[in-house]
Amino acid sequence: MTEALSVNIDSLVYRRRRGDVTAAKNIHFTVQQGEYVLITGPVGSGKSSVLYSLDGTIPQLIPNSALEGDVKVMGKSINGVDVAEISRTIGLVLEDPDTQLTQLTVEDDLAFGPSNMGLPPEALRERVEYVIKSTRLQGLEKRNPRSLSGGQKQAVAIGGVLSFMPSIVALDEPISMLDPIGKINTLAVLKELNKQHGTTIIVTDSGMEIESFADYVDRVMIMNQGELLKIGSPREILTDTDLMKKGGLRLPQVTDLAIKLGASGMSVPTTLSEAEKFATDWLAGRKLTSSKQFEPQMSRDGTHAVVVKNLQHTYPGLEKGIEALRGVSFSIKKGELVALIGQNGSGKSTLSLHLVGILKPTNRDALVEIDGLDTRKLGPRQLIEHVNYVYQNPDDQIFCEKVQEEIAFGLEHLGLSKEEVERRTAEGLKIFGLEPLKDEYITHLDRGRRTYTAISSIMAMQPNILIIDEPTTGLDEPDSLAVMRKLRELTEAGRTVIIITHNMNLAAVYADHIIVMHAGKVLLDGTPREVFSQSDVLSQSYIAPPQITQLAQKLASYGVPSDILTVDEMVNAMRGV
Amino acid sequence: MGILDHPMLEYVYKDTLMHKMHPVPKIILLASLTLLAQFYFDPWFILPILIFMIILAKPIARIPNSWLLPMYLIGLMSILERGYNAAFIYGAGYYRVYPASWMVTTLLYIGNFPVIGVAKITIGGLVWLLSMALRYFTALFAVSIVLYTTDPSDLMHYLASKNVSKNALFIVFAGFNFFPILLRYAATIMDAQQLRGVELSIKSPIKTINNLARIFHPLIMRVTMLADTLTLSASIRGFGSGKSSYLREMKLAILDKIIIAINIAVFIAGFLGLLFFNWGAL
Repeated sequence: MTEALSVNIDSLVYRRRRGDVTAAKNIHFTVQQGEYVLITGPVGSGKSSVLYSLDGTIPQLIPNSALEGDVKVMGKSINGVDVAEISRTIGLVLEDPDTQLTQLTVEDDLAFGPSNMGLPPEALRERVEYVIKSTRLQGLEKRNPRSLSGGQKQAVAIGGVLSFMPSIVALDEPISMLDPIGKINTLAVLKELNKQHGTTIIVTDSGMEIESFADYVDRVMIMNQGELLKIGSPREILTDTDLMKKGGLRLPQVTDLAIKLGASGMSVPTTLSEAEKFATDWLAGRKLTSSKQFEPQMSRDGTHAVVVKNLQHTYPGLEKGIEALRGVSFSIKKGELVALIGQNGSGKSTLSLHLVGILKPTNRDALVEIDGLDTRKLGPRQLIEHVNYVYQNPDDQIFCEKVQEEIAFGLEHLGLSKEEVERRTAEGLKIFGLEPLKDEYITHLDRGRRTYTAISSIMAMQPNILIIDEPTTGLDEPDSLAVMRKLRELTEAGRTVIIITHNMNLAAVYADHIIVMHAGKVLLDGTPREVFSQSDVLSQSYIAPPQITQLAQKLASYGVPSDILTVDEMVNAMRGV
Repeated sequence: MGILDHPMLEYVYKDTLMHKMHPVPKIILLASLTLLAQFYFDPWFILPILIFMIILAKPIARIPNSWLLPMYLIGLMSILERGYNAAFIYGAGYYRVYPASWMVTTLLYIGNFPVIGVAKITIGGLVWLLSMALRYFTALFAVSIVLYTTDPSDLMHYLASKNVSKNALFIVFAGFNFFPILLRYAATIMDAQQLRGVELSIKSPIKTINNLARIFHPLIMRVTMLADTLTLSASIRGFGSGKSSYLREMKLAILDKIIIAINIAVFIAGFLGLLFFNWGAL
């Protein structure tokens, strides 16, 4: 194999208001043509900085950045070569898809890259059609990409780079906003490019999607605090408990299971198929007769916090408008933590905007009741003490320069006394330990701290019902768990929390109740065990249960319960506890 | 979403005759008639042009009123501004076609003011105000039809085929893109601010100004970031690295050329009519 990339970064430095920040140091690695490499590490580990230096975006297009060292692409140094020129060899997909959309229709956006290569219209059309199919964007060709859901935008951004078929595709957190099957499809498309066209693929991930990548990548590079800790095969890296801990990452669920069951060395699986073989060998044909059936999960009694009946919403546009909600009905009890899941574009965000009164039903016989109030007759201002909403992108709701000002902003509009505003602001800063950053400029914070600020600013307003759109997108495992623990504390204090998420592991562990949306309707509504045990139905909505649940379902013939949700439950089941 | 739930002042794909029309004859058709309307003062001459525009905009291009709302507001505000001027149009010298003695008939005497002089409402002043209103709405409907039914990429493709510099095209294109994005950002910011307790009242002018100030700061932050990222995203997708091609070929068909020729002829005839036969004069 020839060398696609040779990276020797002595140091990569950003200049920020508070001095220089070294984003990466002493990074040396090579990638062979046709390899599929994952760079993983927590937020702030330097993985994105390394990725952006591969095509010269750093230092050419990122202000106040400096790179010492050299990056060679196909044997040639990229120093001094224009990014637009390098883009014919390396296609870079940015983390935030909004920043990558340049055209007014999906098909034009997908054609933008290859059109800059001067391809004839027929060839452009062929590439656009291929990418539309492979990224599941059929039917959206004429839509404005900015009007799509977060996941659909990410699919357009990825497609926009795939369409010009560069030798190397570098993607920053490409699947964090996608639904579970969308994640698998995207990784499969990249694998297909990799296998059929010999395209070199380099992706970054904060470790939240480690199970998805383990099946596809050839090598894993683990980074933390700007340093490359190790690069090796998925097995070498993902089964090394100490290394993963040092890198601030968790093990894939099936790897964790095998290690807890005492496996070591080559027998430790990193993928679902390896785990199935491992588990069947481990069970050695015995059937788990004593396997315990789980108690039904807690169903909270009491009054309803949310009641929705026959909710319909059609957005204007296209010929007959866009039907986002098609008769949604469900109810949520007070004190529940509810996960709203479903494929990208299934109507989850639209539904949430109805619950806070921003959108109104487009049918007359709909009912949307929050804390006993009919939201159809009230605006968001009248509802904010009952219900509030945290946007998927924290930047959508940040209005002030500094963290403390941002948390106080909403409180100042609630008619509270100055002392009460100060007290609640101080409490808000404590929620995620933001006190040391209270005078920091928000634009200088990483995505995790900005998300904490956005969530804290709403939590400080103390709504009875809190809706959070993708609370863990862009966060790493420790930050995500911190968010989920805080949300759980809220429900224990009697408040109701609704999260919109594509993270099935978190939904399985933290949610009391899951509502699955599909094509503007409720597909399933029940406890996590009830929902995740119905894999066939879930697949209609491009949802797959957590990896450990999938393994349990593959082992159903051995008596393993099919509604297992965590690794510890699986360990107990396998041991016959 | 929410406050600005509908796409506004931006292209919306639909399968209509106006959407299918080549952008060049479409723009020439709309521009020539709009220009002609701006030369005329007689409402009887402007009204048919406006009716033609409304037919193009509503039953043919199917532009929803929600999309047109900002245009209606701009039109009404412009008429209010012109209403002030109408009070000073009462001289007999303005009129060449209609009897001046009738046109200067005073309907309401407002007063004689220092510096600005006499202000009064005459029949001629009202006719002039009506013609201004018709002119504005003709222009606003024409602009709406272009924005709603023309994919800027099509226009760009055509201009590119005429060897217009790609950098110049990108600036034009970014301009087309910028306004709708700005509206979307503003909408999201307004929704998010309402959720933080901000009253977005338009009943009080002071509150309205305060509201705008609140939206302005985060909007500027987002727009600054957008300008940087548009450049970044265009560069990493190869923009400016060589000769470009386009998804659709935008060649003029014979019918398009006929439409252009007819429009130019109508415009010249209308203009000559104004010069030599007082068409459209008061």
